Amino acid sequence: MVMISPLSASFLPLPLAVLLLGGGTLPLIGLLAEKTGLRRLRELWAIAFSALNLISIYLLYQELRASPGRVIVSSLLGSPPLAGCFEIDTLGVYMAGCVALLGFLAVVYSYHYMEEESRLTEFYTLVLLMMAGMTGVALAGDFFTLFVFWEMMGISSYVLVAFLKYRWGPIEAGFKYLIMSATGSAFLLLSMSLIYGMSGTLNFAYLSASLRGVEPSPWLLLLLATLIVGFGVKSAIVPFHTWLPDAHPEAPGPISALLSGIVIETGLYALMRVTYLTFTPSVYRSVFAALAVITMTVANIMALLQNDLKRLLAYSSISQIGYMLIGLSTGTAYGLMGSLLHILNHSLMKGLAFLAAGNITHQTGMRDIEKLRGVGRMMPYTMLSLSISLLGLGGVPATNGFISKFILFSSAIGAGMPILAVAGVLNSALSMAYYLRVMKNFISTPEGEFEAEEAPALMVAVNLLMALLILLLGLWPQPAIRYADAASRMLVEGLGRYIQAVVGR
Amino acid sequence: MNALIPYLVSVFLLLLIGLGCLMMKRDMIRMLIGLEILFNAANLNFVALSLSRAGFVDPLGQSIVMMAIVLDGCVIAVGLAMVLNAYKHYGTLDVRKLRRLRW
Amino acid sequence: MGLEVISTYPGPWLAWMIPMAGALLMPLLAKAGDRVRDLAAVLFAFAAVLSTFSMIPWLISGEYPGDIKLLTWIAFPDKPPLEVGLLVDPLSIIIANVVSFIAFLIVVYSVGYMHGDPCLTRYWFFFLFFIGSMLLLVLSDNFIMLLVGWEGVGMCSWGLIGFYYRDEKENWLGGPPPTPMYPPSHCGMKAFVVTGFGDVLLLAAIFIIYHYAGTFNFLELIEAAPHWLSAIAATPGLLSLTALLLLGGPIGKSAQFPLHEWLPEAMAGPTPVSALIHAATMVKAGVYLVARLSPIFYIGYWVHGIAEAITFFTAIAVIGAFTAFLAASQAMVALELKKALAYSTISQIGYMMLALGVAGLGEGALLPGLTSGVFHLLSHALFKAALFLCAGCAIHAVESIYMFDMGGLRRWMPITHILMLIAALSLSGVPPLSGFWSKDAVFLSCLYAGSPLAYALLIVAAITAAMTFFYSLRFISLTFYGEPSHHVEELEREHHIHEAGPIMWVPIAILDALVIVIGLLGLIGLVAPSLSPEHIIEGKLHLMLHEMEIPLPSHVAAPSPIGTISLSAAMLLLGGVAGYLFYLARRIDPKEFVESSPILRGIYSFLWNRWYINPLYYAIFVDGLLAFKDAIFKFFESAVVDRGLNEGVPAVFTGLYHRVKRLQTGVLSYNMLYIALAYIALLLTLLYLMGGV
Repeated sequence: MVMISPLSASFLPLPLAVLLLGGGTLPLIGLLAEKTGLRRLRELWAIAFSALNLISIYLLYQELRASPGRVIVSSLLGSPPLAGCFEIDTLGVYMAGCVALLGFLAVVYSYHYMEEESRLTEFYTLVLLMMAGMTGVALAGDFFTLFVFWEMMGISSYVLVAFLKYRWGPIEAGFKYLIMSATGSAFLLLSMSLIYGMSGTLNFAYLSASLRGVEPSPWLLLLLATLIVGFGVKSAIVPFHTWLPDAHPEAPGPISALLSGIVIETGLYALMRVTYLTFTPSVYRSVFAALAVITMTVANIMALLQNDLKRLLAYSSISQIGYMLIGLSTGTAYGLMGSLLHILNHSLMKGLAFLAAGNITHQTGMRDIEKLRGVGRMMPYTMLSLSISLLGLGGVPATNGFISKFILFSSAIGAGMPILAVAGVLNSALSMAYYLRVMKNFISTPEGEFEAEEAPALMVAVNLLMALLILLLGLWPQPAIRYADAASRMLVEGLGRYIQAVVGR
Repeated sequence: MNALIPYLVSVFLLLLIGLGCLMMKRDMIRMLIGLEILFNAANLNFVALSLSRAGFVDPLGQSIVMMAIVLDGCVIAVGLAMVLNAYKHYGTLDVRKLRRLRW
Repeated sequence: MGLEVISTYPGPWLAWMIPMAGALLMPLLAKAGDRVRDLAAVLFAFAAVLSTFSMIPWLISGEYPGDIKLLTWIAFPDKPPLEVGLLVDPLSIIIANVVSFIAFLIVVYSVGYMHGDPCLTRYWFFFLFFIGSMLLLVLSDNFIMLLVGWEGVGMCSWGLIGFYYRDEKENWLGGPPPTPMYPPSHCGMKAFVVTGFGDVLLLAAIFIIYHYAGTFNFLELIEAAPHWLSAIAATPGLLSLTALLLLGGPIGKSAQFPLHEWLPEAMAGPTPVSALIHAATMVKAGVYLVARLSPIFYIGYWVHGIAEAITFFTAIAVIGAFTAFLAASQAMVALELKKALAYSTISQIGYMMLALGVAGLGEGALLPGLTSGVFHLLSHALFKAALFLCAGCAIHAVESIYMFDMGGLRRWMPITHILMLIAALSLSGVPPLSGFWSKDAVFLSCLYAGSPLAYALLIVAAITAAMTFFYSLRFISLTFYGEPSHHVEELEREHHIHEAGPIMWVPIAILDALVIVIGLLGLIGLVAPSLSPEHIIEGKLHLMLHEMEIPLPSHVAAPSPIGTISLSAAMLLLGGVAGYLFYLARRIDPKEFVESSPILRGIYSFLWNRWYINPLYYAIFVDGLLAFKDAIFKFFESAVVDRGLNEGVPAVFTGLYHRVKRLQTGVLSYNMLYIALAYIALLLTLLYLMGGV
């Protein structure tokens, strides 16, 4: 069923319009704030727009739920396949929802965290534009749109990583990130050109209709390899991940949370979308499985003895991407559902972990785990949220991490790849080693010479809210599972509807 | 297809040169140039393949190239800004000196 | 389904939600001040009472909601989902009201008894959480929610037994030396571990049942009973095993043999705790569960002829009767006042279990058995709570837990004396108090069952009744009659021993009043059957069984009540005479009597050492385990596991780490190299795998 509705009509989906409007007007608001001296105006504007974004995602979701299996198509100035279009289905809204949720929480968190910094106008503009980019990627219906918003997301994130430019760390990390990520974009562009050469179109639906099920020829395999590199750099699959351990720690607190929590997952989502649309599972199964195992293992090993808290969490993000790749490699709706659920859960858990780490760095200025021994006792609420997030990342029952990991591993077994499940379980155990090490260090008796107070109430409140969500989704996962299930079905069983929505116009 | 071969070979060469630049050059500006070469390889591919339709040029391919050039330009601009800042901190343009973040 | 179910039936839902919310709010309320907090606790308990009372109209009218569901908790693929719901029927309404009402009275008592205690916030937290969990347990409609409540009461019981967890010397119980004394923290842990053992058995049984029945919901289990019972019975012995495992939970929670040893130690907690949890409510949770499950096994055996289903009833009946005897014998020689009452509780619950057990031993016995079990539950809750609360007053006044430190308290504590005497007479089954009618009902249900086993158990129960009267007279006279002990005289000289305040004896008076009222109703019921409490309960349970579509035999031969009444009278006489001779009139000195013959001395020490069961458990489970642990530690843990896991594995991973980390060189050129190499590798792998080259 295809309908153009008020929410998605007028050539831009509503969430995207909201974010672009917010990001576009923020420089003016910043100017206003400078002139009138209302210093908090920028923050409040950003918070308001990210809240509006959350609401519009919800409205979009309601509209989609009204008739199941519905796909909304809206295009920019023209009609597909000649023009770019957005194809809004449950999967896209799911991803955009994750972006909106974590984005809102991070922006609220930055209210206090970034208050000492300068150039805040640029900061909030970039954050909103980054969120707009990610939402655009999630809702994109063809490669053109995808690439535009991919670059929007990318460029904003380059600048945000290097935001604290008066220190050498962010600059070095930012430069490396830029070079590697732009290389990835170049490969992405290359793969787009190959697709264009092979099928004459860049529209996802048309692409799927023409290329799917075709016998894999060398060109197609070249395409797959280039795609994997193109998306893999951004989603931090080993061995394309080397920028991440530098970039995520050096970024400011809430940006790290956004980066780890949702930007790399957007890369994974794009990979998911394109490969599922273009190839049948038999083509990419083994490759993804191998990449999954390599990613998980290498990242976990690298995280084991890290002393820098944020670097440890960054490596942990890479390994979590590995888990999501397990779900991708199964090729079934169930596995995909596990991946999608893990995307949501990871954004909450890793986001919370980084925000809690942000609390600690905000109060103490340090990131070294050994030196921060006992900080948990001085900052109990932060420690509580950090513990819940770390336990969730390790997959302890009663947290949502357990639910998604369970689904991922059982889907691996169900798809006939038990080795993946075994590797996953072993890696979970391994990851608990360094999570518990962090927790143990922080809860021990303080022996350092530092004093720390609990962070400002708003930051702590955001942390506790996320911790509550983690526990809630762990004990009552039914709504999230249902949502992720609907989303995953769009790619596996609902593919026909997806194609029909555009081709049948 | 035969008419395409020189173009495709050029694309392949540009790819090699671009990657080689990124891998082997020390100077940060040179790396950005290498990046630009890589982008242009993809753009060239687009242009070449847009010619493959019999008799006329497909506008889609060429419009993508326009968009890609703009976006690449933005990326390079940001990269140059970072190079500037890196020079302020490190005093050199040698990327191998940017080694403080490791392991 | 959905949140509107709370507004449609507010009573059952609020009954457990309000106390739990109150418990969670306690830390906040404590900041407002002690009086506010205590008042809030009383109000929360009162709200629970109001909520459960609101269910009584359903009981009276016979139109009760049954199964009301709130939301789907977990949806399983291909199986019915796990829902949050409550089962509101006569059984749960009656027991919920007993729980909430007695809990409220004890909350009021606690305000006076625990006044001035610095840790009162923690006390209220556990107390209110207990009330909420207990009501959740009683009202829930499926096994999983019941387990949530079950574990909740277990946690609160641990927390409240171990309330004085700092283990000040004055809070230890046991002894007098050389018998070991135990600190409160140990007692709390003992309770938790022993009941936890029962809980594990229960959990195993629940999963076996789920595997065959596919549902946790009680009503669905009853409906589908023939199918899954025969499915389990297809494997010989499995149904008996399941029945025994299922009984493990109630046996643990209700302190029956062999899991009864935690209840005497549970007296380490404050007296209101003993009254509420270990006399009137938590220990009845097991009785409730057995009552809830008995229709299932009744249908299995009597309607569908599955032979092994009778194991459920046989086991619990035998265990109940044996425990009653066992505990009563120990109560005859107890030296601490609360220990005597604790043994008495174990014994009386044995009666309830006996009643529920014989309910399935005869085709016509289900309704009488259930009725007498529930009636004795109600009546026992009232008089045992009263007994404990009075004991609390006495212990508080005398500042000692031992009965030999008391004596002659009648002079200074007349109100407590009268109240405790009434409750003790009801415990012994002296007509016309409520205990007489309920105990008589239990005996009668044995006759309804009519099997030889039932008659044998009846004999055991009767002997226990004699012992009950004996030890009741014993503890009453040791405490209140006779000459005051040296300890009492000293205390009287220092500061006069005085009666407890009204906030403490008014709740006890209310409980005793109810005991008398029920007793009188029973008396009236002889001429007007519709007013007899037993008849009322029977009617409601009959309705409930009818709604569950349990086929009851239409014509049941009612055994003559003369037999049981005369049996009760004979036993009362036996016990009464012995008690009178030994304690009331002090004709025979107990000590000399015991010392006079080696056989009697042997019996005395056997009973004093709790039939050596407690020392046996400590020897096997505590000492034995510790010895085992030492051996394992030396030979296995240090030598093998430590070296392998604690040193070997980290060494492997640290080595791996140091090697792998060198890959992250920090040089951008290398990073690009990785990308390029990976690209080529990917391409080659794909080409190789897909065979496209």
